Amino acid sequence: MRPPLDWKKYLFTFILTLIIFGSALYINNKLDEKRFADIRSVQDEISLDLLSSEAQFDLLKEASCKNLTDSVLSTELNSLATKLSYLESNQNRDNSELLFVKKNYSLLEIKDYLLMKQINEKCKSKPIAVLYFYTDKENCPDCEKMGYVLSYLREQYPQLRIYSFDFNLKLSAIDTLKSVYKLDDRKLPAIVYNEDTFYGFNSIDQVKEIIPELKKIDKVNAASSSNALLKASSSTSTKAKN
Amino acid sequence: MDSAYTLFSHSLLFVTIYVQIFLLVTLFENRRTIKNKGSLTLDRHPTVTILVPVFNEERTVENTIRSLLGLNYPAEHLKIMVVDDGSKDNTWNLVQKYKDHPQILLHKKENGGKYTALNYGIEQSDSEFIGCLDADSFVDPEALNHILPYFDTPETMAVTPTMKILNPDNMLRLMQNAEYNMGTFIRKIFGALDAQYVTPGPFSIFRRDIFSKIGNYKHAHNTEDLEMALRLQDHHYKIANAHKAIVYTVGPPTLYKLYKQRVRWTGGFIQNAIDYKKMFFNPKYGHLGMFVLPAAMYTMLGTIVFLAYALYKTIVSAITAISKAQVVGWHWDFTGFTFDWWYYNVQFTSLIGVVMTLLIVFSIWYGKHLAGVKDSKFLDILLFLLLYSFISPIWLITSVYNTIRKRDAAWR
Repeated sequence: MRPPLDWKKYLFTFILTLIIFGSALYINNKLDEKRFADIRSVQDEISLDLLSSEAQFDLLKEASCKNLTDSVLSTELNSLATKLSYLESNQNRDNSELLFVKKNYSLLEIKDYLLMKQINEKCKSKPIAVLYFYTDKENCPDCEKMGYVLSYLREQYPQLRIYSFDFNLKLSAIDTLKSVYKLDDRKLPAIVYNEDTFYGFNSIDQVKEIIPELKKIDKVNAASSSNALLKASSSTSTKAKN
Repeated sequence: MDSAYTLFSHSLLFVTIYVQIFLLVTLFENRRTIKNKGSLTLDRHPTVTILVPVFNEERTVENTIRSLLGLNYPAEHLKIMVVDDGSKDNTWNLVQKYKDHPQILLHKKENGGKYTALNYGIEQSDSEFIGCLDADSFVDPEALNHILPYFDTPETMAVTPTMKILNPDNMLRLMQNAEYNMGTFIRKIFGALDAQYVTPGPFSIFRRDIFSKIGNYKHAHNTEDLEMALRLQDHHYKIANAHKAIVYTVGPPTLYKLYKQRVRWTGGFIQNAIDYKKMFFNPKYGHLGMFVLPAAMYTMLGTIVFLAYALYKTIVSAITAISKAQVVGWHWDFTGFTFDWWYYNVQFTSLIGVVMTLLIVFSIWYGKHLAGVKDSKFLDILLFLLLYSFISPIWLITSVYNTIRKRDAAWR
């Protein structure tokens, strides 16, 4: 017959496994905490930027527009957007920490958007700004595709400012935006540009139709690159003559 | 849904780590006994018969016989019995050159399958110990001297050897080499747990009288060596492992041949496990019932689940990449690529994956150490890690499918 089973060994192995498993969970949580802490510090930076811009705007009410447009708007919003979309795809979407940073981000976007509008009015400048409403609650394949298009355009045109909002995020400021632009949640995604709303998926070309400024940038870029080519070829021909 | 999935995948990972840790704890407990290399000087030399069942083995049979003749054991106590199971090729004619050899006995019978050839040999032999060597395997000259001392324990009825791949000359065989080394480690640990569930065809040695006590070999879904071990365990007899007794076997050289072999092994395991299901989670069968059999079954099913998950992930990311390409085109823009730790996906599953990989590498390395392999090559381990988890689910899925359809996999 076999000797009686050594249950202590099963228990000991269980404890050891628990320690390894617990350590991995601990490291994982610490890294997540660090990710969120990093996001919060970027958000703090942005709110500091915004505060300083608002102060600058108040101080320089009489000053020239040149000083304002070059420096005030935060450049950190884009990097924060990339980090948030990473978290959205890798974390549980109902994660309370994620919802908190998303709300914070949405508020910063709204403040940045309002400040930008004030500067526009004063300086009669026309930066390219788009409000984008999406949802990740229901199955919205068009939102996903629209996201790809806008991310691509943001990379190609640094002048383009995209303010993206999760339609279903429970935040009163977003609700106000929704009622200001009379948005219909059944037709998402939606883009708001120059107070006009465009529902559904829009391809790169369609977005360029909606925002003609992007086409102008294309033209300027094409002209400057052909100029550069001309200059380069003329300098080589001059060198050849010499 | 997300949390249910997380709970499910975490439980699977927990059990996987548990199994590996259990093996390590057993190794630590038995480290002194395992280190004991066993004495090469036997007090006496009992009579031993090695059966060589052959069926169309004209290419390898002579080498197998020669390797047995090379065993360092007194000739008058060692018989080699070739049982031709109705070969249709030149096997029978080839072995005739040994018909007058004092150590070699030749028998021919009608074809009936390997287990019938073994039973025929058992009936014909009268030696104290009996073993078998498949005609695609070759023994180390000292193998028998390493095995027999383990029979000093009267309850030990069978002793298994260590198997190695003969000349691992291609990627597939190198992968099998690492797998066999891990097998050496696992077999030793299972031996220490008194829970081996296979007495491999190549050179497992039995006490002759065990067959009259528990009966001869059975068809057992083409895996008679597995069923015999389970039957021994069912009667609570001991199966020891002699890790220094080396047997070389020819590894299947192509993926298709490997697949066929493994479908037979895995299918055999599942179907025999079903036949002996009373052992699962039954403390009466010691660690075999409480740990080894459930863990072996779990490893098989777990591998299929993990593969299904990996496939699902790959398909999802492929669909994402395609739908992205449809709207913005293909962009291989690496200029914005930075090594920012923030985006490095250190997730719980990858951390556990690292722990698992280290544990697997350790078991292969320790298996090498047990088998006395002195090389420090890592190519076989690397190939095993890269290929095995992708290849093994193919035969696992087929075997599960076959079991469900109640179909025996063909012997060859």
